[in-house]
Amino acid sequence: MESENILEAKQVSVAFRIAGKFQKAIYDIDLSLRRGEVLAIVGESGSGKSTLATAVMGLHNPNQTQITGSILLDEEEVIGKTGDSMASIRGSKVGMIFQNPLTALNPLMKIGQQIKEMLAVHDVYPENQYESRIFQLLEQVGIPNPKRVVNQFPHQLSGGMRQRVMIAIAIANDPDLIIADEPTTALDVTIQAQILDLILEIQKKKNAGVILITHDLGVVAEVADTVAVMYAGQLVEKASVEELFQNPKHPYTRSLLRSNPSAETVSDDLYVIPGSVPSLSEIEYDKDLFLARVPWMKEEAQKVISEKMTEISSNHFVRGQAWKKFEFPDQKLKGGKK
Amino acid sequence: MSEILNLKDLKVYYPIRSGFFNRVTDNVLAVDGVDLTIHEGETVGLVGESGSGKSTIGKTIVGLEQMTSGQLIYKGQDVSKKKIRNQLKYNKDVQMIFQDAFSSLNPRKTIYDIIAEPIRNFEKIDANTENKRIHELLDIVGLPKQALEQYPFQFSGGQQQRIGIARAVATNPKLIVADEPVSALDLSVQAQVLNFMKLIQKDLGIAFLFISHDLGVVRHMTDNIAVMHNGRIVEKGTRRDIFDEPQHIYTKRLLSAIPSIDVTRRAENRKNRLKVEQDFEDKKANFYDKDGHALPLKKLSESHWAALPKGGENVESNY
Repeated sequence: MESENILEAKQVSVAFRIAGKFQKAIYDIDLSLRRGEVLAIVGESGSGKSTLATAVMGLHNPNQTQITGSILLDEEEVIGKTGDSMASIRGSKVGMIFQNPLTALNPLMKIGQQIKEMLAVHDVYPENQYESRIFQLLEQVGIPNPKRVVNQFPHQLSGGMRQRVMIAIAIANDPDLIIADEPTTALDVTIQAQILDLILEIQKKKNAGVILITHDLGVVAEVADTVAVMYAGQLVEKASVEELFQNPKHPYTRSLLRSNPSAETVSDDLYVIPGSVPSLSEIEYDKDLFLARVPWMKEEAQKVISEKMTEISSNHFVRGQAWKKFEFPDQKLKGGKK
Repeated sequence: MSEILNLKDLKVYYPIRSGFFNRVTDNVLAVDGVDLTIHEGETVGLVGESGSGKSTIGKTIVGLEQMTSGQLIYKGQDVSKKKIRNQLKYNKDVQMIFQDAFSSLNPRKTIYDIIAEPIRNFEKIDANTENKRIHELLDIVGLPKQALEQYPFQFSGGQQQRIGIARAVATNPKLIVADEPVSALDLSVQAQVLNFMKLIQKDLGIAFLFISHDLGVVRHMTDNIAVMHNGRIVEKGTRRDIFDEPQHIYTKRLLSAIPSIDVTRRAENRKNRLKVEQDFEDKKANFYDKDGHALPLKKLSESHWAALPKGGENVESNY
């Protein structure tokens, strides 16, 4: 029987070797993903979202990184796997869609060959079916003229078409998990909507799990089922998408939502989160790191907090206790409640 | 408010050369007949997908691109001629902020020299006054004094963009062309730069041409908006006209594609988007001529213009 959870990450930490010392970039991440679920990971650049994704893909250089904890992919441990054993998982069990398809695709290979290469690495489809599978994939991702496109090079396609080819390669062997790292950041809004629709359609058809890494809160609200918010290498809040947008708790989540110039809010000033993400060497993981960027909560920032997030309501996890006291300065002045 | 810059029937064509003699065989119509007015101290938004020609307009205004034909009227005179440009001090009064702040800053110059460059180009002032000016500018963009001795790579993305802004406002310009100034930045940093741009506009009375594909940001920043598609403006009007009563099918399509953070209306938004998308495909032939160009703009109200077909069979709008 297939397990319910396609991905089960427990206490995952990744440390990079920087100037001879290993420094943790993500720390103690617990995450799970069911089949058919779309999990969005949001956070600023440097918060560790892509580090987590590349750890699941096993793309880190083992000499330069230390990965601890456990990542179960369809009940198979990924951490510690290298070389060939990882290569058989990558692509067949998990497929990845990168942000910039032009650099992810080989510029010297025709589109058809690149997809064929993916099929040839794994034994999911027999060799005599490769050609029909390639056309099937290109049609599935909505490429209008597959017969022509297989003989073209990446530079001959538009940005949207290249991203579609990327998706075709990622799903070539019917993976159970699709990781999309900022798949639409480089695209126009109209194309972005189409690509997101496409990812969801494929996910529904295959009942695959999707991890969507993005910093666009609008995209998250449109496609995710569950949202995990990361800050400085830690999860700070995790909840269903409705809960997170309607009832955000952690100061970081609330600050992010408030600094988003969406079409709905036409206030004059956007909220600015002061300061910046701490560098790896300054991080103390036993504190609520974001509070260092809340000038009116200096004392809270020094408090040592519990390692685990608290479940404040069903499936809504928040780090630390500071959220109970957190108020924006203008709300404090009015004395009003949030 | 008086007009500061007026584009009249602006055309920018890129020649395609081919054949044995490398003759011009065809043109890419990057900008194909655009009229646009910018008033003193206002922010005009220019939106459209990549390849719509919005950046080309920005570059043409600051003189990084040659126009093929048309007029660029500044203070009542056509500045497409170099002589008039110099007379009016046009190059001093019109500055630009770039999308990628880092690559727009010279990596081998200190911040002091970067900010001082436009001043040295346009004004003859002694070293002391220059020093004072630069410290003032640094104050305006909120960077510490020691920044002056540092190099661009030592700053974060948001700080780099603020250095770019300091350089742009150094000559007290009347108009700044901002080409996607925040699209490379994180949300929190983006908010900082946007607030900051609004602040200096209020303090210094600068007009902005704000070029962006992010409609949320454009809505937050601008008073008037022009929507471009395939080198032509398909609709222009006030923020209200565009966001609340869009008339052109392309504008509607663009607006429906913005992801909304309202989770409760997710299914509804999606249905609406697919409907608008379908509508766009169905009615495309009416709204564009046979070469795929938008029709001439029609006046709908004092502020609102749209490229609608003659009969106006689209009046039964979705909104």
